[in-house]
Amino acid sequence: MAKLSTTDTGSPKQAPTPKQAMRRYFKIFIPSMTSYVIFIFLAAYLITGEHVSGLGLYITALLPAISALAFLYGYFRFIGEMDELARRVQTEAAMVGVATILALTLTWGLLEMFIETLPKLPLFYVCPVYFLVQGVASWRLSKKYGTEFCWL
Amino acid sequence: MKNSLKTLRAGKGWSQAALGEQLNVSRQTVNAIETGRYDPSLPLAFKIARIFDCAIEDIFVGEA
Repeated sequence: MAKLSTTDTGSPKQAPTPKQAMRRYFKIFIPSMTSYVIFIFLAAYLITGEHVSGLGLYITALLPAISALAFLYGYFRFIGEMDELARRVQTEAAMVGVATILALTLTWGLLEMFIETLPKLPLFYVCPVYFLVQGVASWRLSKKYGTEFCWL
Repeated sequence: MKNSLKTLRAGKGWSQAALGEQLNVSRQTVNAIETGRYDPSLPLAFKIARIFDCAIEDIFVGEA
């Protein structure tokens, strides 16, 4: 039987090392999370104090989302730059997170639809709950594969 | 999938971290492959084979 070729057909661009990828990630993670906290408090202060109105109200309310989007960009880039086992852990953890969120929102959505007395669940909680579940799954899978635990 | 990575690495006198550096993966990934907890992707398997100058099927054996 002919032996398989050992020619590497991978990308010509050298991928960053796991440490370089982590450093690149933290360059986005720290400023985005810092600005997120600042924007949340700023928005709460300006909106509850009725210092803004009209278009300004919408812009102020969306300010934290800009930081969150920057974080998500850094997070997904980091997943792409991880070494393949770490990426597998994160991908499996993300699937657990998505499946859990879908199950919870579908279940609660049905209950809300048929039982009017139930409180409406704010959509805001979807993201934190997803990352909480994803974090727990990531920890569990890191144990399974013997990798370093990495969350967010 | 069984493999002889640990034996080959020991034959070269490399640590898991040193091999991981050459493969651009973490030490934990090398360890997971050696212990059979993780099967590498085809590109990584090719890289491993090239480093040890042998064919993929000399290192990795599929379980019947």
